[in-house]
Amino acid sequence: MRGWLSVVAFIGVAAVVFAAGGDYLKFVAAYVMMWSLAVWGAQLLLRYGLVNFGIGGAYAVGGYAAGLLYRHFGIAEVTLHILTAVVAAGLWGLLSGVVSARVRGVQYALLNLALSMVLYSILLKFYWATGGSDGLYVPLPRFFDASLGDLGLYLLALFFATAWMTLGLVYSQSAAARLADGVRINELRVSALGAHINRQIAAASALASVSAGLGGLGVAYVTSHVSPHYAHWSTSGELVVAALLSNFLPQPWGFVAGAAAYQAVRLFSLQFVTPELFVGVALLATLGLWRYYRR
Amino acid sequence: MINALVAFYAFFLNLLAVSIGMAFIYGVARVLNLAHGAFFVLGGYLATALITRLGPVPGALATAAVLAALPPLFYLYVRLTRNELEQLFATYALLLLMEGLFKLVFGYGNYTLADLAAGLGAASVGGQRVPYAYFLAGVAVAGLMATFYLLLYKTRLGLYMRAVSDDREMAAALGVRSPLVQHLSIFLGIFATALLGAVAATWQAYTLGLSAEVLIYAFAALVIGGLGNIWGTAAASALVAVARTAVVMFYPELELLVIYIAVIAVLLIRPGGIFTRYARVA
Amino acid sequence: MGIAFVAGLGVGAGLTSLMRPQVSQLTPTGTATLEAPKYTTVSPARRKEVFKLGVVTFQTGAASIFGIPALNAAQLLVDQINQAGGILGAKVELVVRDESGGPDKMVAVYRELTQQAGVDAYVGLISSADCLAVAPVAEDIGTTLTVFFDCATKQLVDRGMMKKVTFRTGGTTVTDGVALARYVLEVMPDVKTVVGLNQDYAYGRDEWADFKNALLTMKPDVKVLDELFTPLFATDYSAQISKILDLRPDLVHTSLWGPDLVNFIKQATARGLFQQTRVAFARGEFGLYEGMPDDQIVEGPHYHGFPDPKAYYINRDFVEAYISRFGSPPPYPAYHMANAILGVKYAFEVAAAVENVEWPDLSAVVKIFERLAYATPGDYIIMTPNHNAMRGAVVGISKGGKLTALKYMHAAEVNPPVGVLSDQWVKSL
Repeated sequence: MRGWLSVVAFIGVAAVVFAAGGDYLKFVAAYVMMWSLAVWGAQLLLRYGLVNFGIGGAYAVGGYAAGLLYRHFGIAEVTLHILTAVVAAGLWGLLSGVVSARVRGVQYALLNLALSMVLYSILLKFYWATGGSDGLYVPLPRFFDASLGDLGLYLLALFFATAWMTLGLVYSQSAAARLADGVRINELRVSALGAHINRQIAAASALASVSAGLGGLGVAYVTSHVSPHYAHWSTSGELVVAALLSNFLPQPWGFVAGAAAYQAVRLFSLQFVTPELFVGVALLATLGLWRYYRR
Repeated sequence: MINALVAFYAFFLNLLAVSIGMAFIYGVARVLNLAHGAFFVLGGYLATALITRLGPVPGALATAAVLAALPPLFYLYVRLTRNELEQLFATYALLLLMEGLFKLVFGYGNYTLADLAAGLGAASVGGQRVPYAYFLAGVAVAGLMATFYLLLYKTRLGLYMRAVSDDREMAAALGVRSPLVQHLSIFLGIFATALLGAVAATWQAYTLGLSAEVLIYAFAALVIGGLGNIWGTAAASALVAVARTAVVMFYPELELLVIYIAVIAVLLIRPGGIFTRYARVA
Repeated sequence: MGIAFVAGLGVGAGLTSLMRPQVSQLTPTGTATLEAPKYTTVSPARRKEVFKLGVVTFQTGAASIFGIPALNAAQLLVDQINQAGGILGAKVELVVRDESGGPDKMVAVYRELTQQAGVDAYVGLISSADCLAVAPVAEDIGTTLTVFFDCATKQLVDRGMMKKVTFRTGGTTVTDGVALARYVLEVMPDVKTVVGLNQDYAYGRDEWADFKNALLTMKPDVKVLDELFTPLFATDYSAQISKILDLRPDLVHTSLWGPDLVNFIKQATARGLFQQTRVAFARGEFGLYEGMPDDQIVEGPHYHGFPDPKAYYINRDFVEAYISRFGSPPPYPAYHMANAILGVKYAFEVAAAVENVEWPDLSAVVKIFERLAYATPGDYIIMTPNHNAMRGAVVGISKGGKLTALKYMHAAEVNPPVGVLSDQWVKSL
């Protein structure tokens, strides 16, 4: 199901889940919807052919926006959190995009990984200000004096997910998306046609970081906690894998489904003696299925 | 001073051991192997398990035999993927699979040959105690590097490998069987990595979760040195070892950051790597 | 195919969620945490057939050397408890989850165990970050007895994060640090210089800070020559060893654990570090089995030789059962797990006896647990109204892979009294 109809259908599914599901399912749904924003960001960069192992940096910036505002200034206002997360993550994305747009391939991946790990180290070291590896408590946000509550948080997650689906729809019709595909396929040709590729990549990096930052903010809300682990490259790795999964599924809802599939497998795996084996086999099975259906 | 040198030497060996194999696998064959660390750790696990069970010489032979069986398996696995993204996905899954198998086969304990190595005794250099095992490990790694040098610079195959690592299509146009060369370098890289992991067991303890840590160091050394040659990787390992030893000696708070700062600095100033002549950034 | 995959997932998830767990719901009143919460039970508590015990600990990754012995101990104890009739007649069933994935996954796992699987009690968490993430969620949901068995952060106590249903049956980094400092001053009363070598994260920094503050408060003329922090799971300690060899301190303090501890011991032994300086290990028990050199100060913080199994039959039975089932003596995480599981068992049983019901409701259990004192294989645990245990620590000298010259630092000497902040208390020693 493509296009606008799928967005409406998604809202319907989310409503059913909230109405009929137990507390745990509602939590997982909200968690997945928030996390999927970061997956969207990773997927955006994948469209350029860029594998970003440092997207956890922006993801952490968003989460820490809420954590630090609450810890040092006592601010729990959701609008302020969102504003700070967007601005901070956008700046992070712009800077890291400008810096890393000069390289491609594994150098790009590694440069972003190093940048996010520098942020991780800073978050870890300055632990009197950032809470260090213990992390920070993130309260339920307030919207102008009213606490958001479970329903409010779920609606916020749903709003984000649908907004990003819409954004994805709009984006895929835009010139920027065509350019992205071009850069992935043959960069020399696109630049010969007159495009400023590095600028495009920096802009895309900013957009992807804003997505990841809001994703991190949302996950921090849903789990009431943010920790430097958000910036670790293993978190970026999970996001990249979920984005790769999402590439198998049709847009605009693919990124949510990919995020849901990955999280479902990961959370389910924790009951086994070796969760990694389970996740590894599941990922290989998915790859195999994909190849089989596309042969 | 001697102590600082020993520290530098040990870390240099460490970095070299984890990254040399990567120079072949990514440098020549352009395979993004996220399971690289897992092969290194596998070498260490196998060496420890077999040598403690069978004794030094039969254990070492048994290890070498098992390790020789690994590359074809990996090669077949990688051949199933069609592009870089699929490789990424598949090798990530392989990393998870191998970690899971480590847990099932080797359990959760610490595996190390350091006790065996300590049994060899130590020399007194400038008043400080330096274990013979360090020298032996250095000799082993140097021997391996010498073998690689002979391979890369004195044989036809090595010439082809260097050509393919520079420009695969041009090499193919000139008549080199690029795919075959790449496949052979995958074999070599995997075998070298696992073997070096076995050698590293003499100073390092292996346990679950180490594969991922090792991967980052390998990639960092490779990228800093440049994708072209093993000397670049060796020089980069030396550089990072110097930086890290200096940081610990003079400003220890930076130790967590030092390798990432090195990567960022190099990729900003000379994205192709410090020791490449014709920089390729893609 | 993608659509089918996702639809299948959705249907499966929907079906499982519709099967809501059968637990009596408790509704805490008010959002202020200062007043004692009032609970109302929906249905009268009846005797249960099955007591579901959720256990969450590391089964993979480097910290599995702690998690797996803890899990072993859990299985051992549960079998013993079931053989003796279970908890209040209910058969105990373990529901185990892996602690990997970071604090946000642990929050999800906590919710899954309490809201989906409907466990009667939750025991878990080795990593401090996970505890700090789960505690507010546990308090917020408020339906399940939550016991942290191993994490050592003092923030749980100092910030008053455990008020309703959350407990910790273990000590903190303050316990470790003060016990070690006291023992060091007993065996090395003339110590002049010390160097710290710890991992660069909150646990490592806390352990070092608490030890350093305690030592400097009790002997102000000690000089700290250097504070070294290493990245977690760094495999090579040669640079740090070199620096320590150059500095030549009287004492090195370290809270390294797992592969880091093993690597450090092996590499330091090879370089001759232990001939030159003495090392105090804050959590060194594992090192004893991995080639710990003689004459080092090692804090367990538990040890299977204490209390002496020859005299204390609870420990003797535990050690013998553990060895016969798992092949080696129980390390300290096993003791921590025993403290937690036995605490849960006794809390429920005593609450049922006091309230004179067949199955106590959560508020009764919490009230009892706050003041419970009970004997465990390694210790005598005294729970306090701040929901943390008063627990002692075992320190000794290593000799031939065993711990000798054992001294048990009494709980009251190594833990701050209820209501006093840890740092304030250490400064007042």
